[in-house]
Order: sequence, then C-alpha cells, then structure tokens
Amino acid sequence: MTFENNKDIQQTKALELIATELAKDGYDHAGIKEKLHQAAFLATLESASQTMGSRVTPTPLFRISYDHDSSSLEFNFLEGKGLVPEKSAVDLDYADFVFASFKCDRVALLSEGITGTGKTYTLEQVLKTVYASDNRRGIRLNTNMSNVLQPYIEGRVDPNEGVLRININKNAVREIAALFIDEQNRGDTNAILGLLDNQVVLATGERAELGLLIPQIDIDGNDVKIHFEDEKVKPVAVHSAQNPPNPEYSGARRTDGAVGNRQVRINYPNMALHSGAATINMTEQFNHHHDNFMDLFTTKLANYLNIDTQRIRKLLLPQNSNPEEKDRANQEYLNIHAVSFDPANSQNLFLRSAVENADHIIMLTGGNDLESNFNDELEIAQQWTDELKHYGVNFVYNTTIDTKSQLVLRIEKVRSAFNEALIERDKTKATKIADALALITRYKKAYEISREQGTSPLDEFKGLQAPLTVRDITSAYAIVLNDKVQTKNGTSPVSVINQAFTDYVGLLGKFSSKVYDSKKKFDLTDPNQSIRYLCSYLAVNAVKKDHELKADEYASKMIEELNKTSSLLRGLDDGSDTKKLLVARVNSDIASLAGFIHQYRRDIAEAFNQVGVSDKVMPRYVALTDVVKKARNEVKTNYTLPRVERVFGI
Amino acid sequence: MADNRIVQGGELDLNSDSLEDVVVDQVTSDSKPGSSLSNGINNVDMSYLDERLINYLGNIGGAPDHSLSQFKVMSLLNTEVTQIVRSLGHSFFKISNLHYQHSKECRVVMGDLTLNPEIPYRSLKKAIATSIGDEHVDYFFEEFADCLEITDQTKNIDASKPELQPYLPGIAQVQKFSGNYSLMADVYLLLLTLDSEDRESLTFFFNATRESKVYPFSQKFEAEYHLDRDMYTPAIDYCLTSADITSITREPHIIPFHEIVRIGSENKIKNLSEYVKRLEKLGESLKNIPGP
Repeated sequence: MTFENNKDIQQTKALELIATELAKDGYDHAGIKEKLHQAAFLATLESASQTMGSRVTPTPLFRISYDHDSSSLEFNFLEGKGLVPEKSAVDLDYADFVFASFKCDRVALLSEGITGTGKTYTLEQVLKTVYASDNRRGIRLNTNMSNVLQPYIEGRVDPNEGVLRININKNAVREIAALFIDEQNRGDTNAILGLLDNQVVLATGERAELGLLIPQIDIDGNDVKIHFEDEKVKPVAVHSAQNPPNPEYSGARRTDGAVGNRQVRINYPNMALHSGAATINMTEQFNHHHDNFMDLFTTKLANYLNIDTQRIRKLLLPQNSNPEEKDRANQEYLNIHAVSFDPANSQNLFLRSAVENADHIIMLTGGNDLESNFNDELEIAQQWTDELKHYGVNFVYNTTIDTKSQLVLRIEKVRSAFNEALIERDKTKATKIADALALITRYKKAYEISREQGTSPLDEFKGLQAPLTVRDITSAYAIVLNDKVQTKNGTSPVSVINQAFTDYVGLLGKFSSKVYDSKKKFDLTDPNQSIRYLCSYLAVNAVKKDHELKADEYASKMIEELNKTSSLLRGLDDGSDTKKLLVARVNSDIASLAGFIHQYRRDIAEAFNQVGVSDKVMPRYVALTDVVKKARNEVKTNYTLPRVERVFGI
Repeated sequence: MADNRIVQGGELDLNSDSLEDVVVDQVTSDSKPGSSLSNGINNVDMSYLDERLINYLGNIGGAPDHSLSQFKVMSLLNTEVTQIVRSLGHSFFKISNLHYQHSKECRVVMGDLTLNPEIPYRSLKKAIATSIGDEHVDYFFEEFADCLEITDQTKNIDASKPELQPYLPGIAQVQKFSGNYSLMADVYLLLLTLDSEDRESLTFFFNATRESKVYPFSQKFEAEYHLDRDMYTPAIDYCLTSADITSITREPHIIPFHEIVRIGSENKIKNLSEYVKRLEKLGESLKNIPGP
C-alpha cells in the first residue's frame, strides 16, 4: 500500500528549517541527523519528565553496577525499591523502558502485577504526554472483546453487493505511534502476535506495516528536501498490562508462548509502601499532558539546536484552535519525532567481548543440557583433529564435566525452570533489550555528569556514544532469562549470568596474560579484548612477513599457531565445569578456523600474496576476513562455517 | 546501519613469538575426546582388556578335558559378580606363575589368578564410586584418605588392605576365585601378567595391532562352555597352548617390528625404543615359561 496521497504527512517545514539551519552551521548529512535525533530525544525525555514529574511515582526495576577496578558486574532486580545511588551503578525505572521502547526496535513491554499498583496508569501517563490523542490507542480486552485489530480496520457497506466489507484503515496505520493493550490475558493473547511483529493482516489477505513513516532528509549544499519511503517506518510501540494468571484473577490466562517471547515481561511491583504518602499530591484530573509537553519540548529543542525558539514554536505549536491547524502542527511534531526516534539510531555496535560473553551465556542456558552441549563441542574438536591429522595438530580437549557438581546442578536447576528452551527469538530479544539498556544507561550517565559538572547534557550524551559492552548484553540476558523462568521458587537466572561473566573475564584475563606475557586485566570498553580475536590474530601474525608462500605453507604455519593457542587455552579451565564449557566452545571454534584455513588455503594464499608483506597484521587479517565473508556467500559445504564467522565477528 | 554490528579489532602490541613456549599435545589414532596421548603413552583405552577379562572369568575353569589335573569349574557367569568385575576392571586382577601343563593333545598355559594388590589410585576411585556413587566419591576421599593412608595419588595402592574391604563390596567374593587355571586362547590375557605401567602401554600396542588385523591379536575368542550340555571341546581349541606362545614369540618383540614402527610413527610416540624393550621383556618371559 502507498501513502502518496496522504497529504497530512507532508508537513515537514519544521524538519526542513532545522536541517537547513544545521547545514548552515556546517553540519553534513550525518551530522544533521545525529544532532537532530540526540536533541529531540533529550528534549522529549526532559519535557516528558517535567510534565509527568508530579503525576507519576517512579518505579525502579533494575540496578546495573559495574566496577572497573575489580571488573565485577552486578545485576539486581529492585522490585520498586529506591536504593541510595552508587557511583558505579545505574538504576533503571519503568518509564525509562517506555521511553527507550519508542526509540528501539520493537521492545514491547508486558507489565504484569496485581491490580491497583499503577501499571496501567504509569504507561497511560507517558503515552498521553508524548503523543496527541490521535496517535495513541488503548484497548481493554475481555472474553467478549479480543479484536485487537479494531483500531486499524474500517467497515463499509459495498453499494453494489450490499454486504459489509472490512478493510485496513490506511490513515490509522500511519498515525498510531503507540498502542496500549490492557488486560491482555483476559482476551486472546494470540491475537496480538501480528501487532508485535508490527503488522496487521486481515482474513482477506490485506496487510500493512504499522507505524509512523520516517521522513528521509536529502541535503544538497544548503538545499534540504524531505521525502518519504513506504518501507522506512518507525514501528508502532505496543505495550500491554495484565494481572498474573493466578487463581485470584479468575479471568486472567497464561500468556501464549509465542506472544510471551516477543514481549519483555516486567514484574510490576506494588509501590504502595515505597512511595508512601507522596501520592496524596497526585491527581488524574489534569488532562493537558501533551499540550504541556509540547510547550516545553519546543523550547528545549530550539535551545539544543541553537535555533530561534519562536520559529520552532510557530511551526510545531498550533497557532489557533482550528482542528486543521492542530492537525498540521501535530504532523510537524510527528515527523520530527519519527526522525529522532528512528530505531536505526539506537542500534549500536557490539564489542567482541560482549558477543563472546553472550555466547557463553547461550552455552550455559541453551540446548538440552550442559553435558550434551559440552560433548557436542568436544566432538567438533575431535573431528577437526582427525581431518587435519596430516598437520600434526591436536585440538582434542581431554576432560569431562562433573554433572553432579554443585555448580552444574545449580545451573541445571535454573534451566529446568524455563517455560521453554532458549530460542533464536530470545537472542534477538536480548539484543534489542541490550540496545535499550545501553540507551538508558547512556542518558542517565549524561544527566548525572551534566548535573555534577554543569555541562550540557547533549554534549555528554553525544560523548558517551559507545559500542555495547559485556555489561549491556549480560544485563539484557538477565532480563530475558528472568522472563523465561516460569515459577520462581527462589530460582533466579542472575546466578547463571554472573557465572558466565566470571568465567569469561577470568579466562580472557588468563589467556591474554599468557599471550602478552604480562598481567592483563579485563577492560570493559577495549575493542581488542576477545579470546577468539587473539587466536585468529596470532594465526595471521605467524605469516605476516612471509612472502609468496605456497597455499600449503601458509596453511601449515597458521594451523600450527592455532594448534598452540588451542593447547594454551585448554590448560586454563582451572577445573571449573562451566569454564570448561567456555574453553570447549572457543576451542572447537578455533579448530573450525584451522579447518577453514585448510579448505580455503588456495584462496587465502592468493589474498595474502596480493596484500603483500607488512609489519602490520591487519592488512592480511582483513584479507582473511574477506575470504570468510566470501565463503559465507557460497553454496554451503562446511557447516562449521558459522563458528569461523563467530571467530571473526562477522 | 551497517550490516555487521560487531566492532572489528585493530593492531595488537604482540611479539611474533608470543606462543613460542607453548607445548602442544600430539595426537594418536587412538585418541578420543577425554583421552589424549601425549608424547609417551598414557590414558590408554583399556576397555577391550576389561572385556576380555570378563569373558575369561565368565568361563573360568579351564578346558573340559579330564586330563587336566587342576580342572576347576567355577563360572562367573553370575550377573552380579560379572557386574562387580566390570566395575573393578582389570587393575584388580593379576595372573602370575605361568607354567605349562599337559592335556591329551597339547601343552596348556596355566597361571595363578589373584587379586592384584597394587592398583592405581584412579582404579580404586572408580571401584569405590561403584558403591557410593560418582557424586560422593570426591567427598569420600577428602574425608577418608588420611585414615586409609591414601596420601599419594601418584602411587599404586594396596587394594588387599583390610581397611579398604568395607568400601569395596564384592571384592571378597571375587577373592574366592583366586586359584590356578588354564588360560583361554586369548593373548590379551597375557597382559594381566604385567604391572600396571607396562600393562597400559603394551595394551596400547596390542590395541593398535588388533585394529590392523594382525593375528593372533585380532582373534576374539568367545568361549562358551556348559557342563550340563556335556559338550566337550578339545583343549587345543579352547586353551592358550605352547603353540600359541611359539607363534607370538617367533617375533622377538611379540609384535612384528615393522608394525611397532608403524604404530609409533602414526601416533608420534616418543621414546619408542623404551616400549620395544618392554615388549621384548614380555616375549622373553613367555619363551621361558616352565613346565613339562
């Protein structure tokens, strides 16, 4: 479906003004987009916080602490308790997640808690503040009302046949930015699947992707043009609330698995004790949330962008009370909102250490059981050893794990509490949550520094842009795995997450220290810290100065080096069962890389000889990475290739 | 948004000889996950020898030839006892005092089957785990090692100690089978005449020779003797005879030398000459079996 005729969305004068002014200030295309999305995001946060401050009790959910000196990470569920701030900690509350969800790709929150705790109220307050009434919808489900597509459909009687035709309401598809489904589990939870995938599909086959179109900014010198593309959409934010499916809520059913694994379940705490008598001052009677918000937003945005406030306000605020004028101003706002809350802006890069640690968490929580996960890895190493025996290599990891040890039993206990096995969607969900956590942590830190040092939050926010770390991905998995634990009974995935972190940091530190022959400490933000990176780097390092070798000669030297890294690594498990799992996994990835080098030795030799000899490793490392990328796009004959891709972080 | 969301690394401040001191393991054709052979020979797969021992004990008593003066019928086919033997393993058994005895057709190799007093620590641990469970065995040794005087895990342990008997159920039953028996026509049983170190390393050569189908190492003798069926098998078919011994001692090192070198080369065994000497020593002892 196209929206070329939808004139409402063409209100982009404010966007053009901002882009033009920034271009005049010397910003290029990327700079304009970055400045706009950062300024509008912070202006939204500040204006919404100011609008809601006296109306909503903050609901602390998580504390993430990381101590750089001791490389220790802690993740705590706060359950509404406000703790004394700590220098190394960031506390995240419910509203943070809602704001982050507007900016991240489909982070759908499902707030679950007993009735009357304010889960619906808080969410409604945020939505009412940030969006005008036309741009948000709320549906309350019950056994008789489960048609969650209601906001998106329109019915008309066909004049020729006299029957009712149901079609997608094309305006609603593009104007609803946020959807709130209350009492989700009193209706058919399965019905919201499509919405969580950001689409509406009718029985007739008619379908549409949901959300605001994101204006595309074209800049030619100081000439700014805006256009829209059908596929560039900011997904609709779908949030839900429900009571737990306990006997006391007789109408509440258990959430369908396919729905549950698309949502981030927040155990909404009962704040009555923690907020005390402070709620006396709160009233629901004030209803001009969005007007109040816009008044603040326009001023803050203009200040951040250093553009004349009156010019911004004239475009973004209605100049009279005519409905058409209100629509115009609102559409100007939505276009700025859509650009600045484009999920593409919140997707950060990951550090390799973050990816490796996530892989270890997956190793500890995925598959059938730890022993079979372990044995699968041993088998791969064994098989590559057999295949490569003419190189005289040995990747065999000669050990077992004790399935009866306290450590293994503790992890298996958490695994057995999962309502379903770890699936691909959990991993995607963890990545999205990691993006959200990184975003929240970043703006919290920016405001904290700004408050202490009297600097601009925008400058601090810009300066804190960094790839995602072990801290972000580990915390994200804590939330995802907590979602999967069906019955708590004292079972918390945090112990598994902590174990994975301890194993990884310990092994990385030991391995690095051996390779560098000096004490190496884990550095959360170092992009070069990665066990697999070190191993593959060493393999290329072994041939960096070799000139015009034959394919077999390059292969032999590199595989021999990998054999050494494997041997070194296998001696560093400290007898810990979980660390053995990590060693086994990395070891078989290294063995798979050796196998790849053997299989693609001719391609590698050709690439290396083209690059030539250098004191640097990177030219040939990049060449080897390109060979792996090329192999990835060929007809598959080696199904350990994903392991090699993992080694190269591609 | 880039295709790849992972930050790529950069140059590292590493020496070109960072891994110079790393010692790498060699691999042999017999290595499996959980058993690697490095340089020399250790952690050998002894399961085939255990299997041969169980087969022997299940048919112990010698050939059904009335001319054998030491004829004994004591079958271990009883499942419970077989299980005990299976869990204890070869380490607990020893054959000594090899000698020949005449049957009607030939000279049969006889030997004294006894419990081996000296067993490796890991064998004792495995045996105790059979009774108390794998999950508790470490705890057991933590608590009892001192009072059982098992302080050095690298040294062999005297399994016949009375203090150990309560923790090794079934061993008393097995002790009852101590005695002088003919050996079955199975050269693997000769390995039971060796101490634990030689037994392990020479089993490795026997295994490798068996896999390359060299007679008589590849011969899997499955005896089935049942008195009640009154089926008499000639001793020459059933027992290890002087002719069998001659056939293997014809080679100075029991195993053909070219076969030994092949095994050494393929498995990158260091100090092969040391193992050749051990094979030669076994050959010499077999050549000198006393008797009629």
